[in-house]
Amino acid sequence: MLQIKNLHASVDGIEILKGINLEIKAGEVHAIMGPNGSGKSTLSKVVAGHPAYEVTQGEILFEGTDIAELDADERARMGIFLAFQYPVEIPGVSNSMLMRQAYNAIRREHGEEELDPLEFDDYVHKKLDLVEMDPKFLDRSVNDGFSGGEKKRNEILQMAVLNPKLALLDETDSGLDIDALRIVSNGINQIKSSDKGVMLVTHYQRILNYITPDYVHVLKAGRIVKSGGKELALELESQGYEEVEEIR
Amino acid sequence: MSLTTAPETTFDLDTLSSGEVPVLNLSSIDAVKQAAAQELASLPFPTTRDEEWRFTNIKPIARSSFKKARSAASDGLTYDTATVPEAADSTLVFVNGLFNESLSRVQGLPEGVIVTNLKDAAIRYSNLVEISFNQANNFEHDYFALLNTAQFEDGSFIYIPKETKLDKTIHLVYLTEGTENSAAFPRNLILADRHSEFTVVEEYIGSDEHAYLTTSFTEILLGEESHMSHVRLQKDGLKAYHVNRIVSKLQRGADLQSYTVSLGAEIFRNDVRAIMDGEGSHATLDGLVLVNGKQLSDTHSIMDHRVANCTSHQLHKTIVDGKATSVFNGKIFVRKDAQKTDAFQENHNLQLSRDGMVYTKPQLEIFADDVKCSHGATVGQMDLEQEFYLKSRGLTDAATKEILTYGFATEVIESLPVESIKEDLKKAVETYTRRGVQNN
Repeated sequence: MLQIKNLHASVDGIEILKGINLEIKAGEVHAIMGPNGSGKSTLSKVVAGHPAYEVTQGEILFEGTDIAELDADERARMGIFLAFQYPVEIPGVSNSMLMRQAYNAIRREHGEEELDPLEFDDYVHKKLDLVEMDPKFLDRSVNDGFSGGEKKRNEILQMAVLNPKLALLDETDSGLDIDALRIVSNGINQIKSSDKGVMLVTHYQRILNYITPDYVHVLKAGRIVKSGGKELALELESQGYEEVEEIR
Repeated sequence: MSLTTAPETTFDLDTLSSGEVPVLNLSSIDAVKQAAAQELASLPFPTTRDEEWRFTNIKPIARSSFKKARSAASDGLTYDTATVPEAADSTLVFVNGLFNESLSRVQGLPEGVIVTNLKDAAIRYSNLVEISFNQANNFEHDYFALLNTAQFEDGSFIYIPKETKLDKTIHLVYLTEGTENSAAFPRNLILADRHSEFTVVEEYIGSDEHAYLTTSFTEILLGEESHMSHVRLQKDGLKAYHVNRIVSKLQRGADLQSYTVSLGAEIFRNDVRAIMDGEGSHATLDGLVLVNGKQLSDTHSIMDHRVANCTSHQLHKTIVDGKATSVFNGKIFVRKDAQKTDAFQENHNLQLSRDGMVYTKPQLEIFADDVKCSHGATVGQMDLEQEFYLKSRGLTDAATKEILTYGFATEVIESLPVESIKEDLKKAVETYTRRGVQNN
């Protein structure tokens, strides 16, 4: 589904990613872990197409197509979704308006009929339960005045609505208390399936108690320095990132 | 050596009125009209050399010769009062500045409430008109205030008796129908007795086909503890010129919530003033301006805090696209007796194109020592993080621009007191942003 080959990326001329190789197949959950500043969040933003980051070398193949030069919206309509570490507030634009427009944009891309507001309302209400969200959030401005936990749940709600093939979850667990973490993880678990890939970027092991990764990769200074199974996360938790040896 | 000077820009008053000043048949007011006409004759037309007009070039207004439209006929012109159901039977309609009785519907008003045309009021309620006319007017030596005063033939008159709470919205509709270079001068007078509560929507509508000039003037006198919600919608044709003056005078405890939304006209100049003349009064003068193409929109406002313990609020938002220009000059006066004033002013400008121009100038003049005044202005493009967020959800560039513009404008629209107007404006904003997206 996603193949990243020797990916180098910079922001403001500073190289952050220095040769990433990673393959995520349908049905797999990959956890990307690493210390602060290692490039974890950058990796998810680069795959999603953030315009501030420049791919200087390498390839990002999504279902066989190199997407490195595509705009974020084109990637999104192909089926890539980024759950933001810091979801952006958009005053004046209701949650349901955003989701309906986005959902219909994706449907149009696939030659499907758009849903009218009433049909969409039915569709979105079914998704609310996944993240235990009150319907009143649909009428509120996107993330405006939401608590940290509500913002993260809203990201997962959007993901459930847009039903992407590849989910990039950028520190979705950060800033969540234990209840919110459980709700968000449940939501993710219900959405993930054998035809979807998940890249879960996280600093801490605790979300992996809820979402079991197939692979764990450790990112340090812009490179994957170690890969392993889910047990690697526990190892990291007890030893810290300092102890991870370079595998090069 | 020879110096050549450009000929003075003058406004063609002769074509407009042939030296005549229309009368209202109320001697005291006709005297005011005559005096205004006399002053006007010796007053130079404003140019960009005048501080108050620095960024607003109104030469195109002087270059055209306008003529008053002579009839209020509405051939082929309709206005459906059901457009605003809140005012289905409380609507006055004017065509080219003249009252159109057949399109108006005012049968649904409670006894004592007066909603009629000023010409009629001058006869039937001459006392009320005489004691209030020109009482709030503080536009001195102002070309367009004088032009309106001298040349107006009619306008709206509203009187709300004491302790009257009006649930219905009063809707004043000013239509301009298509004749080239026609001019209209609506003059409105709104009078609220103590403890009254009411909502007025002033709406100016015209077609894009012809150039025309509207010079309007609204005076508002709010009695003690009265509450007025006011919406002013400027939806003129894109070749129109519109110069408006509006001044409100507030007595003790009066509360004015006024919103001006401007979408149309090639050149629009709006001078909005609130005079807090009684303790504990409050004025909100919010604004939303959407301009595109070669439109120019200029808002000059004055919040005049004359006495103690008054508050004022002003959120003025502008969206500029194409080669359009927006000007905002917001003055707050706090006079020496106006202790404990609390004044808030913010101006936010969203610039959607490279060629658009934004001029913003907050101006605070404070002569009291115990006051709270805040002001701020921002000029910016779309927020990059918001843009990326929306695009990461699959929205195209065009849709992203549309939705962010909509969000920016909605903050003002959401505060409006009339539901149907809100919905209408949300659609208008969508149309505006689509138009902008297509042009860029």
